[in-house]
Amino acid sequence: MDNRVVVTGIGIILPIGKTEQEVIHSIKNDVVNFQRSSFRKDVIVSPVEDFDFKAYIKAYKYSRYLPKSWRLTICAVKKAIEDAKISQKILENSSLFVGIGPNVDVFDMQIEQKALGILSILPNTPSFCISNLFSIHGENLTISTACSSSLQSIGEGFLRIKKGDTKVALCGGGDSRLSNLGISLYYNARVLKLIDESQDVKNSYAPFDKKNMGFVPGEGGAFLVLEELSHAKKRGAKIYGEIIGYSSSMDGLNPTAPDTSAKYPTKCIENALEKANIDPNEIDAIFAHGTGTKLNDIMEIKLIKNLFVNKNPYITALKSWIGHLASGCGAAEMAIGIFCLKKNIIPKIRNLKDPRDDFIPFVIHNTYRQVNIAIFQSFGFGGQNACIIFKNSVD
Amino acid sequence: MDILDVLKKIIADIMDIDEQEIDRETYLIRDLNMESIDLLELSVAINSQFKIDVEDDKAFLKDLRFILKEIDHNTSLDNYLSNQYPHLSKSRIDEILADLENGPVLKLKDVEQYINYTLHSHG
Repeated sequence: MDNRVVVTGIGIILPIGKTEQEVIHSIKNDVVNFQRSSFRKDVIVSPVEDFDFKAYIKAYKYSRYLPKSWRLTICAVKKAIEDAKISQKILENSSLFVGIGPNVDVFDMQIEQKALGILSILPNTPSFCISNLFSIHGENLTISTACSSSLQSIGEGFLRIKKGDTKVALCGGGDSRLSNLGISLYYNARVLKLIDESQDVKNSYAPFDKKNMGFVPGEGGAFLVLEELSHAKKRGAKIYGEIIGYSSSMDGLNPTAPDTSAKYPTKCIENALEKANIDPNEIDAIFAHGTGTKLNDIMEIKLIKNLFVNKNPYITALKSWIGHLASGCGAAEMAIGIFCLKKNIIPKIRNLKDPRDDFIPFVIHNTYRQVNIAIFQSFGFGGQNACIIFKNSVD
Repeated sequence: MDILDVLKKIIADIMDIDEQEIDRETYLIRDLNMESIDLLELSVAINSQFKIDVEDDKAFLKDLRFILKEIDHNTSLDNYLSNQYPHLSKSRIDEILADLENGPVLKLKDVEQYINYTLHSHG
């Protein structure tokens, strides 16, 4: 029989907080860290404030090869390890699944002037540093699937524990694309939320709103510790909940745009539901990818309509709180989502006034309800689709 | 800025340590745990700062142990090493030979001398 997989640790460094308490405080008090980009005044960004790598890792000679995205990632791992209270002995045999992106913040680092500047663009450098710093030597994989990367890293960790390859897996990622190059690439691709001088920076970005076009780029890191249920129970670990399903698929239709018929995203979620052995009607809440680009929002609305015929789960979109963390978004949103579900909060989609669909129950006010089963969704360029089904309790 | 100050700054940056932890007598490998990739970074940085080609085997005494192993026993060790490492003084070579058993011998002052010598010999 397959193993059951629970979440026993969460570490975050995010624009709305670096601890569970800070995140919950931000959600309850409508606090975001949106501001105008220093590179383009018509672009909103969601940075992490007061981030000092040295405060977490102290002196580390390989830090000279690490752009901010990877520093955020590594610090999130440290916090997840501390939260899970796992011993060094367990860590040594733990597995590591790192979801990362193309690292567009590296171009400010003058890597061509270093002997080993190549380390700043090799995708598994963060994995090396994490293993080097925390002595993690089990199964290891770096996953780079655009904006699905970190959610898929959690999914792959889940599968490895489920199949018995490992007892503990550290999974997550981080990203930062707020550099001049990052903003320019997004701007050129016409995917950013743009505002004029008179518009309110904090209250303009509204995923799933008819008038919203484009997203707010954010930055941050988030890591989860996944653990086989009996292993977690035996050591008396704190258990946040259980991961019961995961799947992925690829549209392969267009290098950037999603397929608005949502054919293969639907297939992806159907697969995950089937593997989790649950009916769509058992889903209470959907943490949508919800970027606020027109095509993403149309696709996700279609997806929800394809799947949920009899029951209307709550639909929220955490990017309205932290911005779009690119490859790091899945892990970040899962971390925030789990914190909120533990407190029986379903966070609102900020600023949503005129939804693209009148029949879908978008959460427009913070809602205090118990959620048993939730889906987390990530969709990336290429038509890269992924989802994870999370159960907010362990029987 | 003199050569020593520049070198201290470069090494502090590579090793993520304070410049105060480094002086002329610091052993780069024995004290600072500099590895081959760190010496590679040092080489690239010296090249970029001083506009000289760095021969790593000589600047960082990388081939010292090999030379000591291969040398014909009838040859004068002092003279031979002086030819191999023309940037080092006779007294420094004697110091190195007396220090071999204690671990890697490379000191910051050896690299300083290498740069000094190379800059000088090129005019």
